[in-house]
Amino acid sequence: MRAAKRIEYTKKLLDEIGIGSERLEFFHIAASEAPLIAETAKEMTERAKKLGPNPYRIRLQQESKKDKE
Amino acid sequence: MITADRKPFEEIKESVKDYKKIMVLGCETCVAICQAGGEKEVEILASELRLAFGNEGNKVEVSEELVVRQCDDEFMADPAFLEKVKEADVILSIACGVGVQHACNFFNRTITDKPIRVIPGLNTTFMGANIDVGLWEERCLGCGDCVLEKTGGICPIARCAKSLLNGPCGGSSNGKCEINKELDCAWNLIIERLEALGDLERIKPVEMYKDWRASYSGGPRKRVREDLRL
Amino acid sequence: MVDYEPRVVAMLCNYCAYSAADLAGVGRIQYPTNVRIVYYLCTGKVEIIHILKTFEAGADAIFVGG
Repeated sequence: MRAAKRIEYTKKLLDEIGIGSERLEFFHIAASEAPLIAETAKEMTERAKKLGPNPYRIRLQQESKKDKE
Repeated sequence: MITADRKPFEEIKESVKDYKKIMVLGCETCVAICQAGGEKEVEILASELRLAFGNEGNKVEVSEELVVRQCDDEFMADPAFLEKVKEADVILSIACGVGVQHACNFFNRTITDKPIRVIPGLNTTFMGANIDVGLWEERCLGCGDCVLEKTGGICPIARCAKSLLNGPCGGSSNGKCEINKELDCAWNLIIERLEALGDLERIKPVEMYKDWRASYSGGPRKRVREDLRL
Repeated sequence: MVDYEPRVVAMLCNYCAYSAADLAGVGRIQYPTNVRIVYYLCTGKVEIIHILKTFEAGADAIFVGG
C-alpha cells in the first residue's frame, strides 16, 4: 500500500531529525472496526504521554515566552 | 535526465550548521523529475532542517526557493530573487552538480557586494531514464561518439560493464552480466534486438578502437555554436 | 515524564478509518479527546510534508489510519 510505504519512509526521516519515529504510526482500520479506532486513539495518546511533548513544540513555547519577556 | 540522490541528512545538517539564514534552492528540471530536488523535496528538506535545528534550540531561518533550471542564467536573473539570495547566509542547492556550480558562479558574478556561499544537498549520479515508477537506470555516458545506430539502440558503452564494442565477454551467462546477476548483459540485449530487426549483419564488421578523446578522457569539454555567439 | 495533555493528530481515510471513527461516534465508544482528526479522501494522499508540517505545528504524535 502506498500510504504504508510512505509512512515507513517518513519514520526514517523523523529519526534523522530527532523527532523520533515512534511518534508516527500507520494502522489498518476497516470501516466496521469502530472499537479498533478507539483503541488506536488510546494507544497513540498513551504513547505520546510516555514519550513526552514534541521537543520542537517545547522549544517554540520557550522562544515565545522569551519574546514576551 | 540527470539523476541524483539526496545526501544523508546528517551530512547536510553538518554542512549548514554554522549559518542562521539558510535558503533551500530546488531545481525544476531533471532532479525534480527524479524526485530528488523538486518542489516537494525543497519543502521536505526545509521542514526537516527547521525541526532538526529547532529541536536543538538552534534558531535558524530556512527559506524555500525554486528555479526552473539552475544550469541557466536566465532563470535566476530575476532581481527580486537575487535580493533573497543576497539575504541568505548560505544557499543549499538541491540541483545536480552542474546546477550547484552554475548557481554559485552566477550569484557571485551578478552579486558583487557580497560573496555567496552555495552548498550541495545532492549527490549527482548519472544520465539515465525513468524505467518504472521509482526506478532509474543509467543509459548514457556522454562519450561524444554515439554508436547506437550499429547496436540496435542499446548502448554498449554505458550498459556493458566493460564498454565492449565487439560482442559480449566470456562472463555473459543467461543474458546476465558477470559483475552483477541483476544486470542485463548489454550485448545479449543488442543481439536479441538486432535479430528481431533482421539487422544482425550490422555487427559483423569489426569495430576498431574508439576515440575516447571525444569523451571525458580528452579533458573537460566545451561546446560552441559560433552562429549563436554574440 | 511530566504530566501533560498530548496533541495527537489522526489522518484518516474516508472509506475506512474515518467511517470507523464515525461509527465509534454513533456507537458511543469513548476515545481520548486529545485526538484531532484530519479527513483524507484516501491515505494515499498523505504526503511526507503534511506529516512534517504537522510536527512543526506542534503535534506530539500522528497516526495514519487506512
